[in-house]
Amino acid sequence: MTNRKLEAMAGIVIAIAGLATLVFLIPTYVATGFGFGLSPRVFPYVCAAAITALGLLLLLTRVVGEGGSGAISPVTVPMMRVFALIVGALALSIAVLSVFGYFAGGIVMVASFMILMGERSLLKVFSVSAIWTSALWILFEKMLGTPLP
Amino acid sequence: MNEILLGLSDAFTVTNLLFVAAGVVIGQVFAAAPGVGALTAITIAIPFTFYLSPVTALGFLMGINKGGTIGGAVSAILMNTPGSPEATATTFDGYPMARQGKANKALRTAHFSSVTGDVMSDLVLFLVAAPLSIAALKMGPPEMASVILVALVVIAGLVGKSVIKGLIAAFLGVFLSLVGLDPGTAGPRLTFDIPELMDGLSITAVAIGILALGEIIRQIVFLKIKGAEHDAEMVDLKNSDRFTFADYRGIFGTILRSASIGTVVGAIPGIGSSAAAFLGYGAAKRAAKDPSSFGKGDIRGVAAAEAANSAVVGANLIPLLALGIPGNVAAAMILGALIIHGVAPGPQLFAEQGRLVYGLFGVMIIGNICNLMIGLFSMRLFVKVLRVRLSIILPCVVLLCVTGVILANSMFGAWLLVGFAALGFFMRVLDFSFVTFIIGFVLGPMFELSVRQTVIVADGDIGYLMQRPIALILVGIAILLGWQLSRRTLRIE
Repeated sequence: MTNRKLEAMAGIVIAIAGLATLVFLIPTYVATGFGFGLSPRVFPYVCAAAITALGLLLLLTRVVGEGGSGAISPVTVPMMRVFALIVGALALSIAVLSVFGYFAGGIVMVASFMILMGERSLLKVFSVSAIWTSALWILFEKMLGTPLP
Repeated sequence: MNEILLGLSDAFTVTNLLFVAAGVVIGQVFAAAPGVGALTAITIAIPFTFYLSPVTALGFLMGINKGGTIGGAVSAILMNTPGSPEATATTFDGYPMARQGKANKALRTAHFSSVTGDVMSDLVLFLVAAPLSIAALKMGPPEMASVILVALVVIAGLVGKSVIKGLIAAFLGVFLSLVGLDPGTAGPRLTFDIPELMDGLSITAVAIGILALGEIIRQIVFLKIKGAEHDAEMVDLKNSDRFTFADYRGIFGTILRSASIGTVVGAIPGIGSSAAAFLGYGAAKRAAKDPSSFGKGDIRGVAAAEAANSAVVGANLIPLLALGIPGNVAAAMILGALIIHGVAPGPQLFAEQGRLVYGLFGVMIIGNICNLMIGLFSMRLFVKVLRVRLSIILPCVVLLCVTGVILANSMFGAWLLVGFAALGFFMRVLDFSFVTFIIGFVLGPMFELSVRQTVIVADGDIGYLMQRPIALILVGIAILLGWQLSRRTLRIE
């Protein structure tokens, strides 16, 4: 996929998200105010309208005009798979952290990222994750007195 | 005068000295380490400053910012790989110098040029910010709103390749800054009945997600796609030439020219230190009698690039302290820290918080001294830092990011962080300006407040604006700039 095509798709997604904000999110989730002064909805409407219009302009310049480069886009299926894996590891570590506490979550987080980055020595993975998590825990919990989960 | 003395006495304490020195070391190490930068360090450090006094917190953050001006040059000189984007121009002559057995001289040139450039721009800041803010005090809400509008248009137009994408990022930043209770009516705005969102989206979660974690995820993804990390060849420091006072005297003119360029560039919101380094380097090459020596290991090339990119640090605070408008992301983070510590930024800052501002100037002086002194001993530490693998550094920084957000916002902030890290990743991959987004997010509430006050004062009468010629001129400038930049971008795009 070329950068131009990718940016045209980004324009479509932005315009649709902007429209959804204008017709659904703001009317449903933003209060109306007291009927005098500046309504709480003014700025959200202005921003959402501008984002929608600019999203359409982005689409237009990529489809009709010659905007964006014809170079191959860096966004590929394998890249998105790796991205999903990393975000998944981050979310899982935070879930472990909130359920089992800082120690368990911290070790899982550092270890999973090290393994994802190609570190194969389990001894190194375990020692770095345990030492770094312990160091941060001692610094904040014991020395600075700031409670961690 | 009394406020100046009180501010300086607040700054010159042992506690502040220790925190500023710690900040300088952290900034230098983060800027030298591959994959992270001083900006990441400032962003992560903000939640850890909650428990400090405002002057100490600002001193710590300014220390990181100043330390970052040196660290990036180390890998640029020894490995031909800039530690931070603004050190790219340093590689042109720094690496050839290192290959010629002058690695030590190149590092010291970068060190002394950085500190000199930084000191010069700080002096300009100290002299210019107060008079500018006195002029700015005459500005009312309409003028303030129009200044912010001009700043957002300029930043959206100058940062990144596309004005359309820059403006989308700016409006998205402003839009997300509106989440929470409306300041006028206390009505909920996009809070989805979640109590944690009543105070709005936390600046620490947004900034750490977009600036730090988004970049780290991008690096990990591209590292995985492109294969294993390679150990770059590093030039040895042993037996290399020493830097002498005669060398410093020889490059002083170059430093002065580059520092002036960096100061002017830094005072204009949105241009940034990378552009300053290239402009400084170009000016030094044009001014040289023997320009052909540039790119082949000319000491003036290193001095020009480093003095210019470091001079941006102090000058970026000119629009911040005079008007409340950050010149770049680092200044936006300092603005965020001011807000977190209950300080209202804007033209009234000097009048209402003069003691704090002069305290900030005091810790900046301490920062420059620390940067000079610590840099004398830390170069060999940097060489060791450069040898640490990314697969160890990045996972440790990820945990530091999450810890910072948890300390600042509890577990809810950590979940927000995941979302903003993903957004930061996509903004980078699709080349949307995260700088514009963050500045829009920080300036959004100030912009809305100014417009709201204007509406109240005008009492619905549009003719009121005719009585505010400066505001009208500024709005005109914003429209003209927007039109010009859009035409340019549509031609390019």
